[in-house]
Amino acid sequence: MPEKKLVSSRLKENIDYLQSLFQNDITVKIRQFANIGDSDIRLCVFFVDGLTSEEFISEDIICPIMRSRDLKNDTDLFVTIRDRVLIGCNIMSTDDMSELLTSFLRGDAILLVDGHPQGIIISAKNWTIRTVGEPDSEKVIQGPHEGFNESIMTNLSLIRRKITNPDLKYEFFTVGRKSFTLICLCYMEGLCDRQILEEMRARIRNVDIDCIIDAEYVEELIKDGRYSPFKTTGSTERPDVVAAKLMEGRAAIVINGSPVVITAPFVFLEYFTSGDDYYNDAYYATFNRILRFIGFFFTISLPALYIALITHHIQMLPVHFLIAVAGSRQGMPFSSLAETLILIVIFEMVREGSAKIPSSIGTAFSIVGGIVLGEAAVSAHFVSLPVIIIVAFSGITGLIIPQLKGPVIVIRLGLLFLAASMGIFGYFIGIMMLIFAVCSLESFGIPYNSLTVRNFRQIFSDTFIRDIWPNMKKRPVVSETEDIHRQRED
Amino acid sequence: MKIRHYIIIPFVILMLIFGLGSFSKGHLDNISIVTCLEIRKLSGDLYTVRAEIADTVGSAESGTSQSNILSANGPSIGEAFLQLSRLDSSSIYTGHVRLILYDLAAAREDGFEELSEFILDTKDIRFNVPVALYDADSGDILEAETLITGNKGLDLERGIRNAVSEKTNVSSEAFQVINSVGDEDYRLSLPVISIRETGDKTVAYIDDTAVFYGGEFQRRGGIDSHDSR
Repeated sequence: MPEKKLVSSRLKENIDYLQSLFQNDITVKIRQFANIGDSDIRLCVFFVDGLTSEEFISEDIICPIMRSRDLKNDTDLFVTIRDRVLIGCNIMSTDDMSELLTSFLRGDAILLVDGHPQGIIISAKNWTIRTVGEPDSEKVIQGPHEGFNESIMTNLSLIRRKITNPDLKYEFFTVGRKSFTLICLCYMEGLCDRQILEEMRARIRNVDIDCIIDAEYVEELIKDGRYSPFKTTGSTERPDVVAAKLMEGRAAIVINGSPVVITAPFVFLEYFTSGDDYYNDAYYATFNRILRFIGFFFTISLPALYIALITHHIQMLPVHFLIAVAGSRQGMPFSSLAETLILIVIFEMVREGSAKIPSSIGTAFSIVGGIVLGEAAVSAHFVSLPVIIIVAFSGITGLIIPQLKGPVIVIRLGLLFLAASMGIFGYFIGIMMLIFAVCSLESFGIPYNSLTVRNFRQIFSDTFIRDIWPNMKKRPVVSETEDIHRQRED
Repeated sequence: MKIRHYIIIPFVILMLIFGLGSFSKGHLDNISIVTCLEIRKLSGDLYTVRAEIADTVGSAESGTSQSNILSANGPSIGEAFLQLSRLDSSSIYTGHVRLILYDLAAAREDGFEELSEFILDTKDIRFNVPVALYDADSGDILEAETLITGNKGLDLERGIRNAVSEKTNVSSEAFQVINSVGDEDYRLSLPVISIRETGDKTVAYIDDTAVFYGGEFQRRGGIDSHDSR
């Protein structure tokens, strides 16, 4: 927060201060006016153009005060204006100039009255915000199609609309030494563990950075396992997902300016769940969930296993496959490892490029990058066909779980080097290191490898498979709460 | 970054060194894949080893299985094989040999001691590779055709395994040939490959079975219930 400065009782002094702060800034508007009945009653309203509704300021702030003939320039003037003249629904007063400035920069109108060392903050926010549309990264075929946008209040309202319960609590923090970004901690009282909440509050308060632009800033600043490629907090752009996680006893962090909401605690298994698992029937959802596990295995393992087999263990290959691979390798300028690495880098470049370019040319880019380039590379004997198939398949399966794309590329390359150097033995060393890395992590005190179950029966409820709703009677274990049943027990 | 995090650096360097090592390894790029070995005894103590080598480039371009034949002589099977490996600029890879064809006359005359030594001494040959006999006087098996892929090793191996599943033959794999040496009670039934003219083609096929007891040739023909036990 800025250093505390009190509001002066002299209006001119306050105006001079504001003008000195915002020299040459034409977005800052200062409107001075007087009462029609008593010209000694001098006032000033200041606001930021583009953040506030000028119509509201004219009609609901300036007009009633200017035209009121009952105002008397006495000690009660300030209270009279605040309580009896202004008709805005969200009004508060303060003598702290820094608080006024913060509200002013967040889009509120500030009213100062000459002779009174206080200011009135009037909510007059009105700026263009993105509509509540479905997030591109988490599309579902069936289920809610709304997603968060960059306005914290809109996002909180979207959550509140899902859970109309007074136990849904919002706690606000201001984070960012320069940006004063508004952050909200959301949780269900009675469901969320108090210790986890305390830990989250402490970590949010400990964030000491100039500016928060996006949720990723906060995620990295509060995460466990600072150097781990795995996230220890979940992130989503879907209010339905946040609401479901809150009802499981997790907490959420909503950040002003970011459509991404952080949820915690987060366990490894959550990577493999998706919002639409719960909007499709259990069998289809289970099938999809198993596909994600298989996809994860393929995306991290295929290049490594291929390199291990063709460089160290060709005895393990079926003879027809061996002949085919050996034939495709003839005349290749690079070793298998080198061409795999080159293709992985090219695939990631195409992926990154197609994510950044406009969607209108995205299809053409994908065709040129994927099909034409791949075909030309094989025809020119630049890379062998099996490597293209392996890298493309591992790349595509890597996109099944978008949230894992960061860890996946690290694991894939790590396993590739280990497999190239030590064969299958190296691959399994890598897999063991991966298991150790997952098992050594925690998310706000919850083991990262936790299945979040209370008993053996619950393993078959909502972990590797998605059971039918009548069987999912208990909440996952992410908090020490007595309210463990989300359905009536038979 | 704390000091302990620097521990990872030697591991990364080691991984890169080993990884870079595989750049020049070129294992798959520099091998000749042998699918069938034909061993014949010439007059005296001279052996001929012929290898059917999968033509990987030709196979990839044509989409069909193609192969080349290499041949060399030596005073023993091992010596002949050594001479053969010197003929190829790539290293001869026998890990995927699918069939060993052994001269029927040599088997009748000398038994399987020489062949067993060769299999045991050759690093990559698997002990479950089928061993079949052939009559060298009937024609050149490796120059004949087979009706499935054109690769004699692959096609004849498949035929032998099918014959085993249909109980018209007994599987006689390399380890059984090795076990039969020096064991007077060991019954060994080996398929015999022959050649016949089919239209304008000379085709190799599984003809019948040669039965050996204790390394001694007994008879040639179909197997009975005693042989198949």
